[in-house]
Amino acid sequence: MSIGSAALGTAPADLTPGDHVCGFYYGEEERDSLLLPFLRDGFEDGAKCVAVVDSTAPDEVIQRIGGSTSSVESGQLEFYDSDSTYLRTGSFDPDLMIEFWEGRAREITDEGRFEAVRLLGEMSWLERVPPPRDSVVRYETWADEFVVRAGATCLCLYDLRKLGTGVLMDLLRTHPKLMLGGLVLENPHHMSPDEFAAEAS
Amino acid sequence: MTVTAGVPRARRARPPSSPAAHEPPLEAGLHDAALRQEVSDLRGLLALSLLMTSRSDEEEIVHIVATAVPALIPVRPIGIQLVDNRSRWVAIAGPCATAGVRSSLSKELRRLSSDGGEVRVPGESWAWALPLRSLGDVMGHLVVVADTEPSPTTMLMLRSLAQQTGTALANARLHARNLEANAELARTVGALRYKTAIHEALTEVELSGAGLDGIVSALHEVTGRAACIESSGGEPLAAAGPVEPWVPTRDRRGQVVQRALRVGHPIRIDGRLLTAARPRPDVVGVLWLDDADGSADDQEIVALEHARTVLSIELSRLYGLAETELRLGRDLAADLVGGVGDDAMRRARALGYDLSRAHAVVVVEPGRRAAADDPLALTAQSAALQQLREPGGPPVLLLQRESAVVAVVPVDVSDDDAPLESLASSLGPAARVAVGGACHDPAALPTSLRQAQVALRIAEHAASASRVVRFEQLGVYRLLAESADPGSLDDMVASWLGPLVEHDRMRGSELVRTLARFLDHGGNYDATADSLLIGRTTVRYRLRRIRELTGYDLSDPETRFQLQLAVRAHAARQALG
Repeated sequence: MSIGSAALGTAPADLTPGDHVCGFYYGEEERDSLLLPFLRDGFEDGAKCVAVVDSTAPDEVIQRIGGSTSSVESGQLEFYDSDSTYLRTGSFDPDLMIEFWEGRAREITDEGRFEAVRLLGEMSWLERVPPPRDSVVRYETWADEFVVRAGATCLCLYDLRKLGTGVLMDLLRTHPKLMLGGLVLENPHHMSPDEFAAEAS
Repeated sequence: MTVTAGVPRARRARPPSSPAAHEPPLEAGLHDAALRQEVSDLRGLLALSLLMTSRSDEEEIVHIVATAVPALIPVRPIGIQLVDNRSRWVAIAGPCATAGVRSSLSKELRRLSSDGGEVRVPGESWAWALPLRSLGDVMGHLVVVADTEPSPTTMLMLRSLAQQTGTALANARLHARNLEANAELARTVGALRYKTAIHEALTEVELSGAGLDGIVSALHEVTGRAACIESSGGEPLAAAGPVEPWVPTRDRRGQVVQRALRVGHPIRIDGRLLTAARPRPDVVGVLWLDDADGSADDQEIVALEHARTVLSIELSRLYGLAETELRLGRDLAADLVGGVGDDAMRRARALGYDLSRAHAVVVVEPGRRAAADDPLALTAQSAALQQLREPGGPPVLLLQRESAVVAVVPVDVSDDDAPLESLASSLGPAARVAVGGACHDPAALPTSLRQAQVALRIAEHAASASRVVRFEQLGVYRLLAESADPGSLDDMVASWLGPLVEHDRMRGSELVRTLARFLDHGGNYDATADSLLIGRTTVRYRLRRIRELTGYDLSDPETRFQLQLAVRAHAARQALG
């Protein structure tokens, strides 16, 4: 997959640390209109950017947001593909991913080099290696709490074409904000991790 | 759909109506839970609505509905029928996968009230069609099934979802229509801009007086295609871009031009987009754009039509101007070469011609019969002759004589071969330029004209290869042409060539011509055959006939000299008529 020639737009300005935003998209062009501005703005603002991409190559994204080998070597840009993260064991294990992100957050905090942190997870691998729905829900519920705790700004990207029945509503429950039509909106269906746990019980 | 779906999450039972004021604690707890669930579901519906209304594609909206409904409402969507100009089924599942079921459902949907209602689906105990509405328009129907009839609360959720879906679909259609309207508007604006550009470019041509060259340049610039203006006979008048000459037969050209004039709009012919302008009954200009691949579009047709209008105006102006300008000079030239005296001299001075300088008459023969009845072609020749105009001097004095143009020019001009060669080349491969003798007295100009005409005719009869012929360089021909006793020349020709001339006249043979070429080539059979484009055997046969008819010994130098003189005298007499 290539990110092609999609224009770099501008990420919504009202993103703040602790935001856990869900971006739904159809197709590569729309994906890039969410992914590229989010990372480019963070990169240009000097934020630490950690991204896991799936339907496009990390190097291509780095190039498109204006990054270079030196920005990777300096540690400002940290890009992974899904095979080495979400699907490290061949299938999705939420605990391993939680461990991964917690580890990255600890290290970034310990280093203390960056004032802001942007995290991005592209979840289009869902169609390729379908996980149990509960695993995704547990992972995103944890993420909701983690992002606030880590003070990061997080964008989760979901390809609407690749979502199984039911999971869309779960994703709406686990993200406090939605990125729609170039705007970041409060999600009326969001439940806090505690509410979600109470509901599930 | 690939994430493991599992079973839709269990939904708590909901009381059918509001709680009583004094219900037991357990029932009150259940009631609170049901209320929380309803609020949660409504918020879910709101979030879903946000997501749907952010989409501008109907298929994407339908996909979101089909994906989300089972998790939000305890029913199973089996299909959505969208109605626009035609109806179509999307997001089909379960029984709707069968064409017969869809067909049967379609009939039922047409009969349903605007509020929707129950429908029959094979194998399902409960099935319902919900209209997808917005502002009274029905965008289609969502068909859902369930094992048991849903509660009123669930039905309210379903209707709300259907309403939100209808709104999202209406938005998407409005958006699509807006895009379409914008695209149409952009096309219209583009076309208007193009027309404006054409109009401005061609108006500029008119205002700047850039003439025919300006018209083809503007057309080439606007369309990017090679453009050409020709006379109706094919005389090139102006061209811009990499022009491939259009060379149909004369008849075909005439037919095409007539057709273009008749239909009044550009026609596609021989890889060209062609039109014709006729500002006067006797003036026709042909204008064409290169269109070898047939890709010229409507805008280019508009450009060509506009250019034709400007061409009409320009031709009318040009021809009228040329006529006016030339009339005075033509009358003067006619008087000068016709031998009219002092009055012509006075007019010449008044018009800026200094006839105290030596002048000569130049006759230009384009070598095409078509030109004689084509005013534009003659105008083009006359315009070409202005190449001979001296810098800062008055226009060249011109006079048209049938297909030829006669010019009176200073000898400083007529003595130089280069401009005359260039003039001949510009008028076509068969054009020839003849120069009469220099006249220090204008009264001798009629003689100069006769000399130029003689030079032209002798060059034709002698099959000269030169494009420029000068009377003063005719050598023996000049002596023969100026002989004071033409009768003695005729006697000489009759004496030496009489039997051959008679044979040619009676039999249509070419014995005199063959003899002339044989002598010209020093008695070489091969060279003679080549110059006549006949075989060596034929040459031998003809020479034998010549010997039989005359008894001459063609190897005798004296005989050959006399015969060479005789054939030239014959040519000169023929040329002089």
